[in-house]
Amino acid sequence: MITDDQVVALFAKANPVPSLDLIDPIEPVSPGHLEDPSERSREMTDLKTVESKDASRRRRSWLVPAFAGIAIVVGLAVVPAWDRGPASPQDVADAYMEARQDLDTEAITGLFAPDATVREDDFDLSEMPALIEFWRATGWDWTPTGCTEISSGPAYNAFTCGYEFENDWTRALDHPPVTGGITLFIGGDEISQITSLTSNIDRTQLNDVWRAVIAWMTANHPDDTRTMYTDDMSRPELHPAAIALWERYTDEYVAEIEG
Amino acid sequence: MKTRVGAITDDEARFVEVYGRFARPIEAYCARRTPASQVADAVSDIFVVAWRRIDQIPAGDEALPWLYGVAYRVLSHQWRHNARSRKLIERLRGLAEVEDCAPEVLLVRNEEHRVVLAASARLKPVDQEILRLTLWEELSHADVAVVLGIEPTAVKQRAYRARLNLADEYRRLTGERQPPAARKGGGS
Repeated sequence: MITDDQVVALFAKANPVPSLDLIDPIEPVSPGHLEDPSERSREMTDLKTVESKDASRRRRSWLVPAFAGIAIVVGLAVVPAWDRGPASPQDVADAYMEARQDLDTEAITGLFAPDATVREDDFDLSEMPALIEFWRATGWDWTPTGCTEISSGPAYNAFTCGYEFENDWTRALDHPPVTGGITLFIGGDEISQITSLTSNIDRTQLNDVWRAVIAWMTANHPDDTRTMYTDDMSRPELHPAAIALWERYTDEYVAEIEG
Repeated sequence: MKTRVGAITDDEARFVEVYGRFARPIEAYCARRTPASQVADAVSDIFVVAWRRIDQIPAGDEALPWLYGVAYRVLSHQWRHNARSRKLIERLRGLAEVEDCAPEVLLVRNEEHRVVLAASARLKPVDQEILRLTLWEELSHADVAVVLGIEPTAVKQRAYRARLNLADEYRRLTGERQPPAARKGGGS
């Protein structure tokens, strides 16, 4: 006889799309062409405007590929060399992920435009070299899983780039690799904007690891914690003295965990 | 806000980021609930709503339950529309039944899965959705509350009852009796 829990488990297994691997890669969009933003709805439940306009919906169904097509044609005709040169936007996106995997400071910083910005992060672009030193000191591995174009237009192309991440702490704790992704906006052959330098890691996946490390540091090296991370413990300090401590104590931590 | 960084407005950058991160989970959500032929339109409609309300989308991972909430409303509208269309077609053609081309019918090969999905279809729509969100999208009760616009405590209670009712309906369909100890293990 089947129990309640067994029925519930059966329902969970009946999921018609059990993995995102079964979903096709996403198609590029051009958000600026969707509609005039001034006509936006303000209400959560206001779907009438969207759904009652059948003609509008039909337009939308071919709107994205149509504008993508127009953008490509216009781009080929108007935009100078970058899309015909050796470094296509896709090449730049791939190069960024490869350079980050290699922790290659020079290659990474060389890919950014002089006025490039970071949208959402605790870290500024000028901190990138120090951040890379911190990653090196604590054994960070970024394994790229591929960049997909998500927006195409004459002014910029946007890519979402996936990765798997682990470092000395996750390996010591036997934590599975963390998956995540970042968004890159590429104008010409340079990155003009990036969502995050630490890459939109799903922080819920890493919270336990970070907490365990911080607890160990606080218990074993209380005099150095002010040097190593911010008062709210949300991010590491990145000056040379802090990075040197992170490297030394990470080695100690790993040795103790692995016994 | 219309600050431009190069040629990218903040709104565009935000939309592209949200689309890049969450288009595939949203597509999976739609594919789990609607015929394959309607998935692309549904995804398009959901992101049109997202674009219109770009300044209301929560930051970070909290955007996903918010988008599921939009998806739930878009698909609910689609289901109502489909139900009306089906009735009209039945009337016009004099058909007793119209072929159900939902993805679960097309994709599920396993008889047990077919029966458990049939059992779930006997529950209230909101309870069906709670089961799908918790077991297929693997959302917490708090995130399900965001999707459905109800209190987390109500989600918890409904989820518990939905699990019991699902098991009852399943046994009813298979002609099984409820085992004496079955309730003990059910619906935690």
